[in-house]
Amino acid sequence: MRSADIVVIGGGPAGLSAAIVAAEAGCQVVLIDEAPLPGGCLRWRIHEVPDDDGQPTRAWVLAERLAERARTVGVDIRSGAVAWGLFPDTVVAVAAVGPVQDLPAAYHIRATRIILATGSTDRSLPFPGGSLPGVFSARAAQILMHLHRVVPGRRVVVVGAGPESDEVAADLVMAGVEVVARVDPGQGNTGMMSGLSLRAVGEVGVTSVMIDGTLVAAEGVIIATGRQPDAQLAIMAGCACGFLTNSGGWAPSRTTHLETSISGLYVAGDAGGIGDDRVPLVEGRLSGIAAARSLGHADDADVERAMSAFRNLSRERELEEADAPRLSYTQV
Amino acid sequence: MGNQDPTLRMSDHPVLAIEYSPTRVVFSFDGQPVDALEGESLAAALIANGHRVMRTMPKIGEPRGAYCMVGRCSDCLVIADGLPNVRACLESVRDGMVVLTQHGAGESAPGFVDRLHQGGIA
Repeated sequence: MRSADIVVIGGGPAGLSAAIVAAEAGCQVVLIDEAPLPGGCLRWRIHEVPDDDGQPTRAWVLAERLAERARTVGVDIRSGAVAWGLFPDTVVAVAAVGPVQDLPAAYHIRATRIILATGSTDRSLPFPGGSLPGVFSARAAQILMHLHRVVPGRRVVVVGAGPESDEVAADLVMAGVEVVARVDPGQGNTGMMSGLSLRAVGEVGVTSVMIDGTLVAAEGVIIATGRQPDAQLAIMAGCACGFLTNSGGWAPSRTTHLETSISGLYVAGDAGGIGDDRVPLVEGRLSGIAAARSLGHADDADVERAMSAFRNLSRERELEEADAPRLSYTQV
Repeated sequence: MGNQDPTLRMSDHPVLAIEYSPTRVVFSFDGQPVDALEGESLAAALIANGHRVMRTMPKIGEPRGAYCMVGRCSDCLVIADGLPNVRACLESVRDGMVVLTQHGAGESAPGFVDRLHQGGIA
């Protein structure tokens, strides 16, 4: 069986950052990513996101920069590979989803440390007509537009309030799509609509949308109700989890160094709780250096620098939240 | 199916470079020729050409089409070159591909079970 010092699962901003830092510290790092190219969500977003120095950078440009840096420092990036299982003794089971060059279609890696950076999935919203063709998640709309250069419809309704909704609405307008309405389902954290009546209408696909009694013509409905952590591997492996009311729901509980209740397994980025675009970079770097330190490839000063950045970001976010209108979440 | 404007491909964009694969291909969907670009997402090619329905559900027969575009929701499953349960969102278009709407569960795909038996499976 193959082995590696550190296996990073997920090639988005958190995973790439963790892999870069760990490899720079001298660890042998394998990065497993199911997409054909690394970058995670940065591949299909066109928003400007902060880079490591806080400079606004086009998402896909940051993806390319991180991927290039990872390759330069010797990270073994395996694209088109799904890590489908974590087994005792930190064995990662991997299967290929596409053509493989010199690797078998399925194999195991014994990892001394594992950093899970598997990101998030979009929250859905059940509503009448919601399963009709023409209803898409927010990231689906972005993938269609930005990876495939296809619009999800000429006229769409955007459902959701929050940064994801703002971003995809702006993306749609930029792509020449008419956003005929934006509606807030008022769901808070319950996943159910509150105070909004919504129905998608059509025989074989959306042709109109009924919003609080008003029928609007539209071929698409974009569900932009936020993200939830995707930490399936950690959860399957039996990590202690907690429900993060303000961060998308269930996520593995972590130490200050982002280690889970399973020794040697770290979680960084959205998979540990939904944050903003600064979080994956900072958490990726912290988990990478913490894992490297635990293998003797970095020292306490290196970890303290990453911890300091993490604390600064946490403090900044607390202050920002204090200034922002407080969202109220219904207790489930 | 679907009465969509067929030209859902973006022609220009203020930020993105609209660079298409230079290789145009043709595949068939339920017997109709569909113009596409080599290697693009099958679901994207179908949507661009106004084909939003990709499958119908077992038992209830309701139409479904791509929803998540990341291979998780199973609403985009089609029969591609005889193989059912193909996620159109992740599948790359090939010239001459034969794609059918998947009606019901995968084992209902024409000839599929026979092929399984021929292969000594099931």
